[in-house]
Amino acid sequence: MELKDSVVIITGAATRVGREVALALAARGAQIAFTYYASDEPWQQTRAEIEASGVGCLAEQLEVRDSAQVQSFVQKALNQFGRIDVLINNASVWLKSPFLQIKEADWDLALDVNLKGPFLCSQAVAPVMLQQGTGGVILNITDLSAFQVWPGYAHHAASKAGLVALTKSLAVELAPTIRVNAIAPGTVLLPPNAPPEKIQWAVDKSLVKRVGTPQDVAQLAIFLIENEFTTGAVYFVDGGRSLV
Amino acid sequence: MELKDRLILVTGGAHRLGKEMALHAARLGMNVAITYNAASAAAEATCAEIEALGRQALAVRCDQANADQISEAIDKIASHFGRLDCLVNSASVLNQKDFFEITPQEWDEVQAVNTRGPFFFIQTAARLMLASEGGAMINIIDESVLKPSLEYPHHSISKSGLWALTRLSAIRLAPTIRVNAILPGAVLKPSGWDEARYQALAEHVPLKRMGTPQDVCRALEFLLLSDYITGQMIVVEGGTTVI
Repeated sequence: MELKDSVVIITGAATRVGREVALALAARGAQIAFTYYASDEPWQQTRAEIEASGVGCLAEQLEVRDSAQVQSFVQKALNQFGRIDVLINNASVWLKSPFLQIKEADWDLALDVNLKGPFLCSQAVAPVMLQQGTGGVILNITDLSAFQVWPGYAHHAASKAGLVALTKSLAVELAPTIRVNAIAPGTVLLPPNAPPEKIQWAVDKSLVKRVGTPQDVAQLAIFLIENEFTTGAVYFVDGGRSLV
Repeated sequence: MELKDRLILVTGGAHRLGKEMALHAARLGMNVAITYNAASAAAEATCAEIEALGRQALAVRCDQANADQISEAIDKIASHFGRLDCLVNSASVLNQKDFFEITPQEWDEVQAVNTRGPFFFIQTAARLMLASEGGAMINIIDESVLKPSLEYPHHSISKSGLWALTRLSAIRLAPTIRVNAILPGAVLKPSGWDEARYQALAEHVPLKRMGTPQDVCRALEFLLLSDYITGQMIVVEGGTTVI
């Protein structure tokens, strides 16, 4: 799919990796409809930077767990841009808790944001893509926890593994019109206050001996949008971390 | 990594998918070495097309079932270009045979070309690449790695070995050399097939069409450029391995 003049919805893109992916796609000429969760996120700054690329931009606060809000956001994007070509399910929570202390509310939050959110967004967007008849692309951002064991992340890992299963199911059900793939990044962006030993840990964990960058993820997203013969797979961008 | 003026070796680069990848690398500004076994005229033609793109080309004859010929090929490339930055293990044989009819000789021939050959290409190329700036290696596997093919049992196993080799060498050669695999589906009509028989396969592809060599070339370009990806397979098969 050609990125120039396409319309991309990306959830959770005011900050961090989502923001960088949105900016990279905007730089390729895609119009961007993005969502953010908390009103104190720097979404206006992100919107201004996207618009500075000369493309249209819609930014809306969205709770991805709320199907009515999702429907209304998709309708707004459709009203503004007239079509939807790409959906990137990026919004995610990152909860840590030892298994025995995971509360029911924690479990629900992890599964609702990380798995139900992508389900609701995909179900809202897919009919639009199918009706357009010009193809569509859904990208789900999972992570290595779906494949490796990280103590303290049982609920997170279950949500991300579920997202892999959802990816494959949708790839089959929505073929041949919509291609659905997942991206599994390794450590591509540490928290802003990460201590030196955490950075060193991430470097040591990778085979290529560096922390990744959000641009590494953006490059993969661009490849998966443009390559028209990919569907139903998980693509890792982890510096080799998952091998060792 | 920067690709301009770097050297890429594509084994089996005289024709078909290997040729398409060799030409794509040339279009990206790389100089290109290819190996061929029997197809000397095709190899010369491919080199001429690479040179017409303004890049340097070298074709080296190599029967990669013979490890000595592999090290001779790498020596020739080293003395001609003085460097090696990327290796694409594309040369492969595809022999159809029922499980009960495979002879030890047929087994050995397939393993020698599809698994042993790539191993010694990686081993000898890595010595040269580690001595310069490192680089990237890409092994061409196929769907039989994820879905065993009963029509091509020894082939399936040889390509699974190549996938294991991909992961192992990604670890062994890190952080200097990245090693990845591309898993193409049906992207080029097998020789001897008519168009109707080939296109009939599209029914079994979730995306309901056959791929193109360009789909694979895009994956090649992506892997050459993606400095944070190693030990992975990039699947370009229209979804066939999902179902």
